[in-house]
Amino acid sequence: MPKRVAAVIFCLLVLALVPVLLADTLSARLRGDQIFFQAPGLNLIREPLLARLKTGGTVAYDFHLALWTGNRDAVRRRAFERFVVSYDLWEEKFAVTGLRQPRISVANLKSNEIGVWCLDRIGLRSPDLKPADPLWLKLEVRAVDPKRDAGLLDDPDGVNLARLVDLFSRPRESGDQRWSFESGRLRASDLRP
Amino acid sequence: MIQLGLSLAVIAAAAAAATLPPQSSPVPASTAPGGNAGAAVNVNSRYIVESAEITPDPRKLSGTLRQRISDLKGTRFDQEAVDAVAGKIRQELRNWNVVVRIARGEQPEQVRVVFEVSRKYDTVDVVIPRLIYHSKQNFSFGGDVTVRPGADFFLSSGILTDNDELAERYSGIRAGLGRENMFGGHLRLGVRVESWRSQWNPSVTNALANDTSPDTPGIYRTRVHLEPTATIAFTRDLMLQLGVSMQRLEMQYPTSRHELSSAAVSTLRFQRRWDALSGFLGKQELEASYALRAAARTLSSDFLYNRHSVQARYAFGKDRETLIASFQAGTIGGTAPLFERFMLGNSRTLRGWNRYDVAPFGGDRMVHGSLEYRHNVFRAIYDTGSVWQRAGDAKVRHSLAVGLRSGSVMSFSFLVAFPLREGRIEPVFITGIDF
Repeated sequence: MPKRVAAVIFCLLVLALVPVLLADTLSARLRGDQIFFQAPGLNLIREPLLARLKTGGTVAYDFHLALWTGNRDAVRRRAFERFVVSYDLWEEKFAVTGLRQPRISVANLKSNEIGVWCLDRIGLRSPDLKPADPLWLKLEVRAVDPKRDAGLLDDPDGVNLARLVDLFSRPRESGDQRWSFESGRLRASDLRP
Repeated sequence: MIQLGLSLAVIAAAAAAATLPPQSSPVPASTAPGGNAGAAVNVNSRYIVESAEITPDPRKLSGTLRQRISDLKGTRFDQEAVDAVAGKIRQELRNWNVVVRIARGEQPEQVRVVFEVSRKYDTVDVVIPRLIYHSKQNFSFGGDVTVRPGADFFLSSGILTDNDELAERYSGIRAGLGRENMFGGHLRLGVRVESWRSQWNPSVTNALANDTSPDTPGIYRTRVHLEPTATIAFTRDLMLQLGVSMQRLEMQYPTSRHELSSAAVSTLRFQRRWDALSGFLGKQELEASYALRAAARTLSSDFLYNRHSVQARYAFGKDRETLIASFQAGTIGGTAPLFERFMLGNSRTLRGWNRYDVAPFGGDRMVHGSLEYRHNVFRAIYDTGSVWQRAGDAKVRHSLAVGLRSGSVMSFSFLVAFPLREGRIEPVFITGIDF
């Protein structure tokens, strides 16, 4: 095979892999003193959840965000939120409601906008960091029946850590879906507005 | 995308804090695309319930609960109210699964609420797969018990005596075990063991005695059957079953001896149901399958043959009326044992004919079609088909049957069936369940 052809095939393969590699990335940006995660590959609507939504059901998504600094030996910031998604049978678009009080809702979303909208509503208070300080991010999402662990966010003091550990470490039940993204090592200067 | 639970290391590292303050800060929805949908969790709460029904209709549902379902009509869709009714249905129908489905209504901005119920098989399930009386062929009956010790495992055992399906009456026991829902519900593994004793009608033995074809197999006293299978579900509607069927036959003639019939088996099956949600078209159901059984020397089989069969069934139902059309055909190449041969003239094919009058020991070619009309409990059936030898001629026969049918889950039927032929017509009475 001529070298030129081989080089072209290699480039094409690399180009094909780029979207795949980017899909699993997790990054963050700074808005005021809040850090917001970005996960372009977070596609929350897939079977069998889509089937449940299209028959008028609702799906709850639990978002767990964590941020480490220093030697990654302790979580510096953590957040937990629950959003409930439903599907408008006539508009054929999705609607999302955040369950923490006061409740926030949005309608007419496309499926790929749901994750973005949810992540835009969960901010971690930025720790005091120098530009060269290392940090790591992790995003975990699980889809559950909205009735499971109802009242999770009723505690005004936030979610108890033991409860959080219990939620995300318990064995998967039938119909559970989970997503997990990690950023790898970042620098504080990587957090751009 | 990587799917992982929260790692223990992460949890341990975080365990320093006892309770987390609420660090998240939701952004007002007004900045989001599409505007605010209100406080309701389910966006369909803004629509009016056009109709509410339970399907299939379980007869033992109380009048009070029927009224509660009916009362949903005309109200604004309320997820909690619908869930409450579903909960009540679960209380009354303890061994049933209840699924709530919401669909667009006929009118704009309206929705239909459907409570779909199906029997639950999660503990011990007793099934009567066969209970038939045929005035020409006597009784066939059997019972199976299936135990599900876990969510995915099953064990089954049962007894059966059947004088309806094959050339022989076969009686005995069977057992099976397997695992379902592997690889996200895409794979099911199972193994089946059966031990049968065969009895032959004099019509069969006389016909075999008069047959001079070298390809005609002999009769046997007993059959022991072992069949491991793997079923791959490509989609919810389409599945492929692969396996090996090994049957050890105790042959009777010319001397008592054992022979092995080993065949690779594969069945491709498609099944789809369009329920009441599909609108004015009513309920429709389509089932189709193709099966191949190939016995070869490589499987140490004493019989060498290929058996192809296709089946299709389409049912259309609206209100109280149902129309069912079914078709089946098959062909055998080589010398297959008698249990593989095609039979017509029983409780499901050419009703009105006695299978010993049609083809006493079956044929290696078969075509059959059936058209059934049901109105409430009334059913009328027209059957037509032919079974013949590859070297012989096909003779097409017809029959008519009328009768009554009750229930939907385990239906009891009574049929009077007539062969359509010249000369004296003697009716056949068939009664039993699920035929």
